[in-house]
Amino acid sequence: MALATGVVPADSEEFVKDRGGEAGKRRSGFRSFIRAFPFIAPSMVGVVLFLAIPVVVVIVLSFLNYNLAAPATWAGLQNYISMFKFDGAAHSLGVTAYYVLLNIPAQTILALGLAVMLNRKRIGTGLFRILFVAPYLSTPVAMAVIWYWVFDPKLGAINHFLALFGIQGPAWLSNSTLAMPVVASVNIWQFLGFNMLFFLAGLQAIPRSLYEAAELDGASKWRQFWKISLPLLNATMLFVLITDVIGSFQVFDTLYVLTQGGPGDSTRVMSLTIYDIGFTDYRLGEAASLSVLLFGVILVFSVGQFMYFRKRTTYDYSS
Amino acid sequence: MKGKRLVPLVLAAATVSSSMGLVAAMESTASASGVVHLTYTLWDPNEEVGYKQSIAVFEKSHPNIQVTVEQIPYAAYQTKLQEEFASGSGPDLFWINTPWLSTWIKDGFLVNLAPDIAKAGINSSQYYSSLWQLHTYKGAIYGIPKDWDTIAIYYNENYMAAHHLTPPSNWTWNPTNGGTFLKFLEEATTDTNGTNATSASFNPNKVAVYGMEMDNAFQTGFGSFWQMDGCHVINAAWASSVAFNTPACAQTTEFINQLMYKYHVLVPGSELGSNGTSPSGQDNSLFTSGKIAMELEGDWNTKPIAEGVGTKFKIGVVPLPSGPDGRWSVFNGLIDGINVHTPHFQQTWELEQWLGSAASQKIMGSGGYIWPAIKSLDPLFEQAWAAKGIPMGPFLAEAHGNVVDWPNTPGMNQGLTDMGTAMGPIWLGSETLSQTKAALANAYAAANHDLQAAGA
Repeated sequence: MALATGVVPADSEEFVKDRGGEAGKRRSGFRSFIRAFPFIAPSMVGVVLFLAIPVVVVIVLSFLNYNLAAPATWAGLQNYISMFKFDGAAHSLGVTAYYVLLNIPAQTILALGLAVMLNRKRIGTGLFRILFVAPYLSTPVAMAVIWYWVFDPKLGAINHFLALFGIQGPAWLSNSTLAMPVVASVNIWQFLGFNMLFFLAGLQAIPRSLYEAAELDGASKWRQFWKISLPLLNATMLFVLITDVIGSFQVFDTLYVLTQGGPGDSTRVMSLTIYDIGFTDYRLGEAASLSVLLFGVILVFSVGQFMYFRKRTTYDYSS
Repeated sequence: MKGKRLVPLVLAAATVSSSMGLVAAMESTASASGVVHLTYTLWDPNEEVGYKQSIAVFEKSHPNIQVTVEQIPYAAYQTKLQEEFASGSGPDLFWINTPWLSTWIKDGFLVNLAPDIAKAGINSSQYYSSLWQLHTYKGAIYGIPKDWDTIAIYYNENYMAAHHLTPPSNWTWNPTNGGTFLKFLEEATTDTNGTNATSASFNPNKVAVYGMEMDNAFQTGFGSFWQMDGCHVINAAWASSVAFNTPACAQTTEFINQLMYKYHVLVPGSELGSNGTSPSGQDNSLFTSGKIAMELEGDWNTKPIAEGVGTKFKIGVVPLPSGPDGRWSVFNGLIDGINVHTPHFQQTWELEQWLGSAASQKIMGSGGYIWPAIKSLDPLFEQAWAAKGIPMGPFLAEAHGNVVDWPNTPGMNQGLTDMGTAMGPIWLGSETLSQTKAALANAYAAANHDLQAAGA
């Protein structure tokens, strides 16, 4: 297939030669960095001030007892023990992982499916693209407030609709089995169009000639999707998955509005626990230790995804 | 070249630091003309209207003081102020809700006003004595009482009339057979066929209107009922641990669960938010939309309830039913605290005195904004609402009867939040007594941890 289409794996010898081989690598070395530095320096200031320093502060804070009012005292590992003993860190982590599992596969598959469907020139395609992206343009909190009342068991639109058919709808957000899937569905609805845009851009960057060649070879649409579209969307998939997994692990606003962690603590994700411990009870050391734990988990997942995708062949079809 | 690059940097730094200084100075400033600017912070937009009227009068009599009223939504209030206090800034004068009082006292954010109150010769006997007690710790007083609130029951007069019911004012309850309270709730609960819950043909799966609601919250929910059956959140103010691990607490709480899921006369907690705590005012919405006949609520909610109901039906009010230990209502009140960091203590103290005075409380009471903390002014508030057709007398009767204070001890605010989470299952479905006890045990452990972490 690769020879027929002219696409070559990015790590193949042919590709490296085309890009100038070893000389090209050297050019993108130290001198390139020096030349690029003035351009990236402003961003670096932001990264250092608003990311690197806060990360260090949070790590240090996680070893302290601090409530804003009294001077901080050394806590050693006590906060890391307390977060599991009293703050339900393990439970929150499990709930967060459940949310990620509900969210990511469904969101990714649906977004990809939508992108494939809307990657055609038909009447109304543009309108549908806008409709699917519109939820992303809205504020998550505002959308969550609206959904909150839509799901209300007595006054909400969904149960009123079900009642038209004689069905008594459940208390969606007060049922520990339903609450998290409901929250995940709201989130999927909100971010589906955003992810679709990336897949759509990725699909549109794939040369038509590849599909034409495949058609000449007698490949079905389904086979074209698996053998051309999906492999060439590798980089897009990596970006979408990494950003979505990170975002899902950090989810806060939708849950804060819809369930506040309930029923019981069945939807108490890490961010809600961190918020409660930090900003309701002002146990900032414990909140920091929870944040470090979440940071570590996200880091492991992100590195894992990078490693997985690095092992897979990346194709260059830009030339 | 180096010098040229440094100049903008120095200028930028100077601009930033001067801006920060300006922001810090804005909250409380004294101009060259001698006029002092104070910031007064509160959370209730309804009362803000009344306080602006009161402060306008104050500013006329104190031309050297100008006050900016800053309204912060309740959900963000504590966090914002606590962060400002910790950084040494914050408003000069601010509302304090009892849940935060002990923590703010302990953290040293508040000025002890006891010497100033004594020096000013303020007649403390004209106020409710329990309001002074609520805001006093080891002889220190942190504010002049301004208002109070109790819990009673609003009801839909039109619905009651249509069903030939009159809510009794002398009703009783007990956890064994529910008493006349349960009987009335059964009469007031109807299914979609119009059959009430006293009938064998009542369909609990198709309830059209529930008798009442009781949310999973101490003040506007179970607190008064716990007290009426000998159950206490804490045994005394500034307690170091909670005290609701008793058979009486389990018994009362199980009774509440049965009212929802055995007798079907209280709206299920599952319709009051994810833990039955009415986080978005579901209780008010259900009442104003006619889905519940009665609402257990605090008097500060009268205005939003009246506005929500509009002309749909007439609102009546009855007192709480009496329990095994008599009738008790949760009682609370607000004071204005003075920031220890204010550079204008004297002017802030002037404003504090004004807001606690009879003159200001007359404005607030007659406008229907608050029950004045000065007992003789209470009729003003009652008359203001009577003119709008809502009889507020039951709230006043409860204030003059048995009252249980807000459980005031460090960490109790978070403790009550965690209790709401741990007790969620009791509000969300039918529970056996042992399940209720298990949920209460979880709530007990969580609340105790919060108190200990806060240094109670």
